[in-house]
Amino acid sequence: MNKKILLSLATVAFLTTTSSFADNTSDIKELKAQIADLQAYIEDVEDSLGAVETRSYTDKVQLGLGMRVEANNYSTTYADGSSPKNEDIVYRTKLNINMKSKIADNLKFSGRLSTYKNWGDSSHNYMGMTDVDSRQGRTPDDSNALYVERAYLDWYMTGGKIPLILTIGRQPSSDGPSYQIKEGTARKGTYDALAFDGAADGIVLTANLSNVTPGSTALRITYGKPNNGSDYDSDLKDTTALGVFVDKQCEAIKQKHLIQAYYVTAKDLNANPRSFDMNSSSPTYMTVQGDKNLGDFDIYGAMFEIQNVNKFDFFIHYSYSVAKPNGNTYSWGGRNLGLLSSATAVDGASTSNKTGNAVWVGTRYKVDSNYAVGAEYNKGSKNWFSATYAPNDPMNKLAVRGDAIEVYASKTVNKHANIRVGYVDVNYDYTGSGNHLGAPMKISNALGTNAIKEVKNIYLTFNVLF
Amino acid sequence: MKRFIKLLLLMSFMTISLFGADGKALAAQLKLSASSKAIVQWNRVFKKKRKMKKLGIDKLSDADKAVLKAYLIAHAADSDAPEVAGM
Repeated sequence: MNKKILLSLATVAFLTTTSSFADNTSDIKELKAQIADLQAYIEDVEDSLGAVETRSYTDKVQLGLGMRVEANNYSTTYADGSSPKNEDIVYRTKLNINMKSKIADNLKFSGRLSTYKNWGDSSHNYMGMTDVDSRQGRTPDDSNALYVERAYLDWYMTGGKIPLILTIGRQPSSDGPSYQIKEGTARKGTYDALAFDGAADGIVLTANLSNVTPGSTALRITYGKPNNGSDYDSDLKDTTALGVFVDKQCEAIKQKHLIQAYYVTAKDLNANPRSFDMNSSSPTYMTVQGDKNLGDFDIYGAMFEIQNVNKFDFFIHYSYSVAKPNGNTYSWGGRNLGLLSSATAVDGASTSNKTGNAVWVGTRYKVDSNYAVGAEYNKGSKNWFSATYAPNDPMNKLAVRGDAIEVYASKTVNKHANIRVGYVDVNYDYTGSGNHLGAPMKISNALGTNAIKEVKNIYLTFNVLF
Repeated sequence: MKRFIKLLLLMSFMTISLFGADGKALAAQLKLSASSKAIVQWNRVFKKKRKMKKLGIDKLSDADKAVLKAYLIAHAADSDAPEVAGM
């Protein structure tokens, strides 16, 4: 590079020296001085670039920021028609620290550390006062933490016509398609968000079949252990899940799109007595009284999403769940709860399969480069059960045994941030949405159990992804 | 509900464009890797004729240039990238 510059300058100098020798001599002197200056400048630039190069080799992990601040104005109606006396606006902050690292050409690391908290909500005590939130993150005895939401390695094992990639660790199993359409981001998870949403530890083998099929195709075989029971009770089997997923993009469709079909089977679901009672009006965690394996569970499904179709995005998802109770029950609150089944003093818990299904559709319209509006609808049947234990939406609307609508409008703040205002209305037809314990009961028959009939939420979120 | 789904499907398929320039294919044709540069750097490339010529972009039509630019920026090193197992 330096030689080329010098040669060019010398050539220019040579060609332009057609006047008198004396003039040429002074010109050459001037040019030499300029070349010397240029050389010194290039050396300075080289020194600076050397520092940048050194930093690029030693900065082994790239960090990114994800942040959401939200305000939720909930309005709840119980089965008996009553409502809580005082429902304040719930403010929350979620922070994600995203990590990426290309360790080698065949090995990549991705991770996400996160914290998600209600404003003013922590259990710090101070001088006789309880729940002093201002101490959180400020005291040596702080028990609150930044959690590892994702930490996985992608190992590109083989090349050739069918590359194989092994993904090991805490998987990108949350915020999957088509959640990103509402968020206005790229796809942020592997699996259909109607059926799976939450952090999951496991192993995924991906076969990239794009070289041997038309369009783009990926086949994934997944193994996970959603619940490790043996640490707590040696009689208990661990819950394990095995799945097959196919992702497909067709050549004929030029717009960004995704077709996904899947089958997952989970063995030995535990009672998991720390489960959250979704339909309780005073949410509490169940007391640990000994865990039990309650049965198995299968889920099938397919989805299609397409973006930028004349400013519209569309998606449609369908899932079918089969719970297979083994007759075991877990005793809680005077009830004997099995897998989507219950036992009475007279009858044992059912062992017949409980099938459910759910559909989720939505659209988003980009009014212009700054504004978008969207709408979503989902409906789940009586025995609908999925693995959406930890969605970004605390209402877990996609788990509803009933239906939910959502409308929203978003405004771009800049290329890294947006504001969204929305309204969600979730109507529960049956109890226990999102929970595998107990037989779902019709809400109209659940008077006196504090079951929730309807939740409305008007929300405002400020989202940053950088 | 069924009617809503039918309508949604109909709208989707009626408006899907089956033909058009493909930024990914154009990038592959010119052997350009979107993740080799950041968004600012790709913007800089498309502002300088000399840089476009160096990468062979100058030979494309204005429409193809726009499609290629959109693709390269969408998949640039610092773009909002998909997070998917084995990708």
